[in-house]
Amino acid sequence: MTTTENPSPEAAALTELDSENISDAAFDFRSYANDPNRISDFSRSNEDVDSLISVVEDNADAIFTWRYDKGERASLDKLYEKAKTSQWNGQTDLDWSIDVDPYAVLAPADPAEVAYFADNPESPLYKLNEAEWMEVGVESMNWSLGQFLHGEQGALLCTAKIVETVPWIDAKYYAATQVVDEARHVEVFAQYLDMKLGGIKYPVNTHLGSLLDDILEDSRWDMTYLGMQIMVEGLALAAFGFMHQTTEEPLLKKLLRYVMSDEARHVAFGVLSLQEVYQELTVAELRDRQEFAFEAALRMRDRFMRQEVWERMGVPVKDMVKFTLEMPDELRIFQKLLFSKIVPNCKKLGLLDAGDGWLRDRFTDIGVIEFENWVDTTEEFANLDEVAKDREMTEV
Amino acid sequence: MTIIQDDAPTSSDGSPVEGPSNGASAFDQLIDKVRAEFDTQFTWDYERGRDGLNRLYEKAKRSQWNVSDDLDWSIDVDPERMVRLQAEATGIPAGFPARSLLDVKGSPVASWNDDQWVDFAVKSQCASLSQFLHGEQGALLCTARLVESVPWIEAKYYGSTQVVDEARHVEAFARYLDEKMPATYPINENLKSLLDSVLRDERWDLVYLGMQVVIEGLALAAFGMMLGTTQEPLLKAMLRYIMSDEARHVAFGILSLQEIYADLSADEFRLRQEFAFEACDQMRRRTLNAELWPSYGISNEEIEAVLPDQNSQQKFQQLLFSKIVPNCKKLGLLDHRDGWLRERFQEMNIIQFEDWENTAEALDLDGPVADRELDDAANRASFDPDALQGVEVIDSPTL
Repeated sequence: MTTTENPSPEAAALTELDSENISDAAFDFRSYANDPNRISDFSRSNEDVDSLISVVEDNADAIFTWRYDKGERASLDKLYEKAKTSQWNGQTDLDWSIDVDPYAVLAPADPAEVAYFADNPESPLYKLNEAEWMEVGVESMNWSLGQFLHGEQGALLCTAKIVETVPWIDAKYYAATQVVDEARHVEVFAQYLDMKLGGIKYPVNTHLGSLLDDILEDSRWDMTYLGMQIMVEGLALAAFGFMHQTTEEPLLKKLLRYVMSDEARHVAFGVLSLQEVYQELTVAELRDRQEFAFEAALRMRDRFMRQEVWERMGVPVKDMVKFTLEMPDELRIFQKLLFSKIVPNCKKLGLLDAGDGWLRDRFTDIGVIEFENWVDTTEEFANLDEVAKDREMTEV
Repeated sequence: MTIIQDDAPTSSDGSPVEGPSNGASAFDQLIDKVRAEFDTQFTWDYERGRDGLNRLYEKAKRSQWNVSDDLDWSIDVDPERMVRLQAEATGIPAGFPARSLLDVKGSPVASWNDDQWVDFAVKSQCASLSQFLHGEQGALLCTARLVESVPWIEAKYYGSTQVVDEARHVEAFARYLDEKMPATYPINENLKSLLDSVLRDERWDLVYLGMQVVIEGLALAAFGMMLGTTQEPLLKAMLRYIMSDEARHVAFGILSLQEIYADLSADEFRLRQEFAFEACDQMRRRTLNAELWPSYGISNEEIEAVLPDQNSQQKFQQLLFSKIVPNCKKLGLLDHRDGWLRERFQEMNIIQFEDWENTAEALDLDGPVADRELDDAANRASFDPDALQGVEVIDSPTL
């Protein structure tokens, strides 16, 4: 993205890692991954609110396949047929006449978490008054949905790229349905922000933006899958689920429910495709994928720090990131839950334990390994088809 | 799927097989790579201000169909019978237009009887459907490219529906060839090199011009001719559905390019004229049934040698440009500055189509998507066999 001049903090940390010897480097890397001082130091907000476009160079090969045998990959074929019948329309399947009070959209905050920020004299949010707390909530909601929106556009571009670069006809077919899914998601998030929350206030978060750029720039098509379908979509599935559970606003609730039923297919697409690819890879090639996955995981953790909100509200960004990272473990439920889809899917792909279990160690370091035995998405996507459920209800 | 010249590597893991990407022997390998360098563009302006494209997007959402459910695949197809029925019903002899080579002095097919022409016509139908199939895959890749590179949110939205349309078309043609027809042929060299040059171009508006106006325009005319002549109910239904999608695709190109062309300099405009001409010229230079002659022991050179006298074949081929020319006129490409493209189209003898209905006007953007509308869309784009009267084939002595 042209707006990002410096390498991402996480990439810088990895470069540092390469330049040191292995044992020190591993130690150093762990310390970056978990050190609030270093993370907050690297953390920055995107202050470019004026650019209308951002450009990423695409150097990948477009691939024609001359093997048209549909169904050669039966699980992808099944996913394609499912996707065809699960399409919905952002204009007609959601009730846009519902009035939304921006304050009513907000989920009740966890009292213990609020107390951590409000009652601690070292907190940058110490002594905010009631109105300011409401503002934090409203701004955070706009920011969160804005990041979902920009992330969905990244997914739209990445999936179009997969259509061009994957050599399997079943994958091209399925990915085509995902392109139109992603366009629909951009459409509904943009419309929700525009019509119900006073507009799109926040640009793409620096950490999310640099991750999207890296995924688009990589010319290896399986990296597009890993970055977008497993990491970004896996995290989105968890974040949407969390917001869906906590909001009472009926339009947003239904919107998220429908978007999630698409996302579950998308993650399943990634897992099913990569399982096949990874069988052929060497240990060194797998290690590349493990590092890519971990770097992506760190960026996404860092992207949830709401840097742009603090910037806008005049709260010191680095202090706020640091204070958030120092939150006691028992309060970090949301931050951990974000990884509840990624970890089991990485396990299913064999990425956790490949080689010397490098990725398992890293996920242990950042405290998310506990999700490894949660259900993976190839098993649950059919249950998440809310569109089909609604249609069955209507028919009954 | 049976593939003629089936000497391709048998690896089924899809792992990239290196090979030439110049299209010269595209079918000798399982995949074919096209190196592309272009900019993917994020837009941060999510405002949907382009009304024509918005309406096209909404229409596309309502017009989706499913190859597995919306076509009756239980229909039995007997290719030979299909060819004979078509000849009876239309009065166009099996094997036309190649069959008109029968009368040419020194023609290598002078001794062919009706059965041979029926056999030839079946293969010719396979070859046409195969080119449709490969062309649709090219369209799939080009449209995905557009979604990445176009900087307008409305065009990304609409383009995404076209990606899924194109996947459906590949699916439909591949299944029809696989289940109902005896053979699939490799991609024609001219088509491949045109697709490659469109995919290699880093300027997104040229992807539009090459794909949405030239290739889709040709496809619309060719599908229309097949729809207008075939009597086979499954193929008829399939083409009717596909053409109703294609009409939107061409309209997408015109609506988008009109906006871009309003801001181009004379030099930039001339470049687009040349691109359009070269693309058309490349498609015109395809040898008639080039895929087929070698299997009859006849070289393409022998056919080329007797072709120039064959007026009827040329006129038939000119009809393929009946959608492109009016659309180029609508875009201002025909008459810009010194009318360079008009002169080229005159030389190609296709300028007579300039006032035919253009595709953007023919499409009712807001109408309901009823079966009737599909018929209308198909009929508008369809081809009336009577038009062949002007192609002087009906008095062929073989009838």
